[in-house]
Amino acid sequence: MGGFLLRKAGAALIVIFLASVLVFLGVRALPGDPALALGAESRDPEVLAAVREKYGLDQPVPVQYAKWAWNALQGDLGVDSRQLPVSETIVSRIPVTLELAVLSLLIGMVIGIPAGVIAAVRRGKASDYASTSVALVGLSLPNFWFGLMLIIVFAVNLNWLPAGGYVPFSEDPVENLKHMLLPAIVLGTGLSAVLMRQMRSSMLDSLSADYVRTARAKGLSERRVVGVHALRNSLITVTTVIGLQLGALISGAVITETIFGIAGFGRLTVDAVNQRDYALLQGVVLVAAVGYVVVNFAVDIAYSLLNPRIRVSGRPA
Amino acid sequence: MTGSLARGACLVLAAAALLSIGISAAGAGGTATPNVRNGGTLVVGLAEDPDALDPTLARTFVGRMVFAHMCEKLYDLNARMQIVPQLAAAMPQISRDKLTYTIRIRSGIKFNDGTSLTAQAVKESLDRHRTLRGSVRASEISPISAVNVTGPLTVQLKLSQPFSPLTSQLADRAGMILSPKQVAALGDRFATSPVCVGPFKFTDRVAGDRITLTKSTDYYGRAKVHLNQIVFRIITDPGARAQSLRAGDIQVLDRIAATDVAAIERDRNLKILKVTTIGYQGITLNIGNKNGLLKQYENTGMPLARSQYLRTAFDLALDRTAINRVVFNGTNLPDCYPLSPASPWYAKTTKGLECNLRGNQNIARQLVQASGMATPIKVTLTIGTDPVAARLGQVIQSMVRPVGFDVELAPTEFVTALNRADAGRYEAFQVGWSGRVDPDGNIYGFVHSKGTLNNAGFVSPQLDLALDNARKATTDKARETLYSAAMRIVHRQRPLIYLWHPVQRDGVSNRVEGVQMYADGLVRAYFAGFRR
Amino acid sequence: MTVAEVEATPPVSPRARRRRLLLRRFLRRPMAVAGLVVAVGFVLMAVFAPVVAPYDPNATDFDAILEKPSWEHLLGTDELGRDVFSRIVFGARASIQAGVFSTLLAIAIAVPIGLAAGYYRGWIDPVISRVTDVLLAFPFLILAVGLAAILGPSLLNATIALGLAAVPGLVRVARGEALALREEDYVRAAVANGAGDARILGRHIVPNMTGTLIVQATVTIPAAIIGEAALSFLGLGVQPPTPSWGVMLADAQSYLSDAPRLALYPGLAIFFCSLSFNLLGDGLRDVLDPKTQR
Repeated sequence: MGGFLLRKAGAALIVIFLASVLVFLGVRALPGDPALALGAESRDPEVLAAVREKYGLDQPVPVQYAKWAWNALQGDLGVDSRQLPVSETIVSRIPVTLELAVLSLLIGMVIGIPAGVIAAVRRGKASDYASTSVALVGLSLPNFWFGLMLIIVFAVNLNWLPAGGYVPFSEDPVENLKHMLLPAIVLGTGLSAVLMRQMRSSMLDSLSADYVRTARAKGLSERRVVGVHALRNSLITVTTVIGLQLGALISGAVITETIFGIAGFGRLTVDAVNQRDYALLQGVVLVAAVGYVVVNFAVDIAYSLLNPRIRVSGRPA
Repeated sequence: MTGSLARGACLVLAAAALLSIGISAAGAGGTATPNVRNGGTLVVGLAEDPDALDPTLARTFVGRMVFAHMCEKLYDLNARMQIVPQLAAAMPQISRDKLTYTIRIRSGIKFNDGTSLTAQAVKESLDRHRTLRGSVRASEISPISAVNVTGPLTVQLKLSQPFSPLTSQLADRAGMILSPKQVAALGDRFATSPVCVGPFKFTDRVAGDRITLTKSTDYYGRAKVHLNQIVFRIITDPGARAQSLRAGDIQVLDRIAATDVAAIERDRNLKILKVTTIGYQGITLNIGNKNGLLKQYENTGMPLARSQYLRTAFDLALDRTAINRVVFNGTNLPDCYPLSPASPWYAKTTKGLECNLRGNQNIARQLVQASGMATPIKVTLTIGTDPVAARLGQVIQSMVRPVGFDVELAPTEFVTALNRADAGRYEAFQVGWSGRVDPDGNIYGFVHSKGTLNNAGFVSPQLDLALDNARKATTDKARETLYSAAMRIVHRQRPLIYLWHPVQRDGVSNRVEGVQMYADGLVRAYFAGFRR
Repeated sequence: MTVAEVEATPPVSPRARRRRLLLRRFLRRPMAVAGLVVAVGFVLMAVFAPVVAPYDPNATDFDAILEKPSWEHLLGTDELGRDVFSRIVFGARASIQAGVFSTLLAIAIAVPIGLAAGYYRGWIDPVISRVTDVLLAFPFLILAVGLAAILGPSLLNATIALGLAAVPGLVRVARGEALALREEDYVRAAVANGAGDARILGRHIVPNMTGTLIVQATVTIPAAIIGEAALSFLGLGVQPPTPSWGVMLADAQSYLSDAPRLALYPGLAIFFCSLSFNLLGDGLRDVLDPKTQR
């Protein structure tokens, strides 16, 4: 187990290092001089030179990277164009997106998992076709459009829910949930489609597996066979998928938070791109990549704990 | 995503801009607000997130809106856009050679950390503005060569050369005085917790989400302050901003989008503050900017660069009234000049010039034919990347097509577009300027051969002479004559095609009294309050 | 091989028989067939847009803006007085182009890389796998947005960005496939018989991957169609005045309360277009992918 952990951790670290280099270079490949963005209306060469010096933009890129990476290791991601520490800004935004992600995940699981189980158990019947088709519908819905439609119906026409904005949970839990409901539905439905398909196929796998046949042969009730044996094993597989879906959730958050005007992590990314705020953009993308790697690392570990056969061969594709 | 180029440009441009316009009216009395109760939290919806809340480094328009409530300046503007003393006790005494300004400061004034405002504090702030690394103020007050404390409440500014806009600069962020105690404690991280003299003091900021200010207990005019707190919430989507106002989540809305104006007008619980700004939006044409800004201008040889008649044709093909109606629901003010009717200089300097707001396609067509150039004449127009900019670009495109121009749109993210404009890698660029009260600020930089914003690469010795002399002229009468002459040259040669002056509308809930907006477009809510 | 020879051995050829079997299996799935029909419909609409659309999609009429649907304008007019139906029809071009070509690009890049990793293994496999892991750490859309921002906004660049963003996922699939096929008996037999790498890859591995690749393509196409719309929605894709569903949606956002229909139609178009490819892909997966044959 120790060796396996170490190998996985090593791989994760390499991925994080390469990702940080990629982030740094990618941000610098964006067109548009950041000094011009930082200097705003002033295009006086002297002001621009001062701005470049202040943000270290006049130094060679490898030097810039080394400084940034060294500081980043110590938790300092520099200051953004507001002169506020990037790490603090990111930390303040993560709970917002995390709440959105958790709510969407809940919605996705509540819809996706039972639908997948039903589809698998009633394979080939009408309810299977129905849930499979609904899942495809979910996959085909562009979430930014779905969001706009929900705004039109529930905010503009019915006036039941706010069209956008965010109220911290600590300030007013009811308002907070009201603001989060539509965005979470938007993200959650897409997720439920993915989970439903995954659940269906791994349930089908489990149901045809030997131990389920044995259980059936032993005369256990079908309910027990499905509910305990097959379901437990399928859920393990689905856990992995949820980890992998984190990336999709972050992508989704970028668009959803933009449409609903939620000051979360996704919105921060869009703002950073638009303002050519190097420090902020680097920080945001790095944290997203690290988050993704860490979650997947955790999923790998959890998976191998739940299913020891994997340890030797690695996760099946 | 959201926002128009028109607005986008304004925002970014307004950033460092509007130098000659002041902000708060604390010293100048303010309005009486009798039906107002004390207490309450006012929520103001801002169109975007301000940058650094450090007067030395700040650049954005919205930032100035926040500063107006917490950082007073040596001088200020009143509702008629006249400069009046704020932290200074009187207008500066200027020596005969115009190289020494003596400024007396009001006594008994305290910063929001309880320390006293002294001449030494003024010197330290001005020196910080002049010398801090990355200061955006440095170039605004660059003629100041030294700041001397000549008494406990008196400072003397030494200038290296006469600089008549100095007082107006001191009525903007360059005139904001920071608490020396806080500067000593935070250094260049002052923006994390700024302390100045002001009716409200900084309490908290969540980047990209909100800025919270609380009523100051140290402020000299605290009797006039009714609100307990002002929260600036950042809501970048214009639709969501309007929704929040109508739902009562916010009480003041910064900049209503053209498409939301009608709905807010219909709402009986809301009122609209409206002001024609002193800025403009238009199209800059690349005439001589072949090698980059301020680098040896020579004609680019592109069609619109070659002939002023073609430029006139392009201009006359545009129906500014229709542009305003289709793109902005008729909410802006179409016009043909760099100065806005909001400026007292407008009428006098544009007299005798012809501005055809509906355009004239016949004359335009004739001018194109007379040029002898083969049609369609290809023109690449750089525009913003948002839907409003796209709408505008497409309207322009379809208006000039029948005249013989084939416009190709090049939507470009704003900073990149500025880069290209500076490098001379563009043909026509839809861009604007936030505007200055002094006419010089809307003209000189853009069309003078030494102007730092002359992306057109326009060179006219006559125009240079008129603008230089206008800077030196001492009487308004002389400046009027010179600016009229300049305007005539600009209008005839058209290095820029001016299209409209933005009309800014802010929404205010009827529950609130005393919110004001001047021609600089800044919302002033420091003496506002909720109705009884 | 001549035509006559093929005709001489008509239904007996195992390949033809297999094909016929697959076709029959496919035709038994009404949803998949519907998907195919609609997808083909969209492709035809894109190709024959000038014939299908009643108006020039860019012709403005400032005296007839935001008009409601009528016989003259089936779906009404937009904020510049253009015919919405014609713009939807022409918009299919951008979507199909971005969807199909970005997928082809992704396959063209990903398959050789995946083969190299999965077939040759050695030092190249861990390198490619690690790089793929790094790229997969960036979500598809974020990667596409970043690439499009670097390349500059245009349909071509959006197509390239979407294609490149889809590469890491496809590399993983191709590598896995190659890895698995390498161990198949007939490949081992070929190796034992002394066949060269080129022959093994060309005759045994690549042909046996096509099923999986086709399924992957039909999954990638709708993702790219939605991706194109998203990029255009964010201003990083198709540029005005060229009609694109994503651009139309972005434009419509300012008119949600006055003319919500402007947001409805392009969204429905994106939805049905990607749904048709998803249905098709789902059907093909069932038919072609032996792993899901239960």
